[in-house]
Amino acid sequence: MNKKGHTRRVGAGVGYVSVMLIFAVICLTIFAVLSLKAALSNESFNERSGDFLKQYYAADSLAKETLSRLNDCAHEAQSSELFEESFEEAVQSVEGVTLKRTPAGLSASYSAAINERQILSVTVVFNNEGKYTIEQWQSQDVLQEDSGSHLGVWDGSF
Amino acid sequence: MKKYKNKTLGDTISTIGSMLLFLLFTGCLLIMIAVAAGAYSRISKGFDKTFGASASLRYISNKLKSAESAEIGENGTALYLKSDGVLDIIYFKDGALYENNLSADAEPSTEGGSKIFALGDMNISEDGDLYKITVMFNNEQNFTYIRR
Amino acid sequence: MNILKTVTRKFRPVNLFFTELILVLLFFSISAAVILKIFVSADRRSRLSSEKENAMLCAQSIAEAYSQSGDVGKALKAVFPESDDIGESGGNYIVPLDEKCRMSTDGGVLLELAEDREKTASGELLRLTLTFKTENEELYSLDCSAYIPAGGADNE
Repeated sequence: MNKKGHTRRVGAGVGYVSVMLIFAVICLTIFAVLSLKAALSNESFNERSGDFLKQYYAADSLAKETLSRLNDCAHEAQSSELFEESFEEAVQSVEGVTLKRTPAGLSASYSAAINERQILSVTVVFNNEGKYTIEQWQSQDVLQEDSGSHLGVWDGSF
Repeated sequence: MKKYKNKTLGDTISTIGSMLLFLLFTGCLLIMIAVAAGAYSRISKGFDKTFGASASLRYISNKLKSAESAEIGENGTALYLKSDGVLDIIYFKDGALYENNLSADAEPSTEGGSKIFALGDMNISEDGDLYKITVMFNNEQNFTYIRR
Repeated sequence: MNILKTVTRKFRPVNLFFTELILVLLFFSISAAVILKIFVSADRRSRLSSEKENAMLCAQSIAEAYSQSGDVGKALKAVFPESDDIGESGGNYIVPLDEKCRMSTDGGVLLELAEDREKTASGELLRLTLTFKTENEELYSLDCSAYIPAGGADNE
């Protein structure tokens, strides 16, 4: 009788709870790691986008400052009789600007670095009245700018 | 006999206690798993939104910023961008954003592009001197403005 | 022999189960605390990222509208068409937003705009700093500018 009482099993068997625990902890750990990984990659993507946005608008501001200085030069040159010559002379004080005579007027080209891979390329044409027109305000890849290479797209011909 | 009876009572109490503890453990386990699944689903939705709506908005705006000229087509669901002798067509079709690169003098076509993002809807409109790019993702509308 | 008997009598499955449960509960509570901490951190980062993402899109829209017009009011009106009167004092604006960057007085995000105007010989160079803040920290900040020539923006 006593022996029977000793061997009788009461409640769930030993070990099941441990198996449940191991399963649950593995599940929870996987969820936690996946969540943290998603949150971290989300954060790093946003960080990079935010930095790029800041870099872009910093370059944009720099380009606008240069535009303002060029317009000041044009304003100054307007008072002289020979606008183009005076303007060319005045623009020499503005760093990084290349002037070119075009039928539409004087074309000033310059760029502002966005980051090490991209630049903001600007072309502004000043007419003889000292008014300007923005021809180009475009972000470009540095490599593309250096090599002048174009993306090879098949135009349908062999 | 008395001893046996006592043992049975002790066993019963012990069993009830153990079962209550087991129930508590199981309850905690289920609650934890439910909370974890909920949190994971919420985080994963945010992740999808970032790599769906926001990434597509940024992609289109960066493409616009680097294009020489831009034109809206197909009632605002396509954007024709020209730069360096390449016609880049970004368009919305069948629940996704596609991109197609053609030669600048080729006929614009919204066929045969590569799928870049899965989206609910995409629309580009002109709002004064700005382009308004609107995308729908998971029934949520996101937009951004880019100067023309 | 007596000792062995005592041990056999005390070593019963129910006690083992109970002991195992206690140990499992202890281990579970410790691991649950650690895992919950990871979840809370992931959730906080995710929420912050989402708020920051909306703030960045909003900042880009305002910056683009401002670059074009050089007018904070116009830029805000373009991005928040529902905004009728936005508090302004000395070139500084404050716009209350919700976490999705829509205008809302009971939202948790505040957009501060500070404008700086610099007169040049031929126009005006304007700088705008946009700062998105929550109660505790700065979410995102962006500096942008606009150049308005003396003849007006039509010069462009």
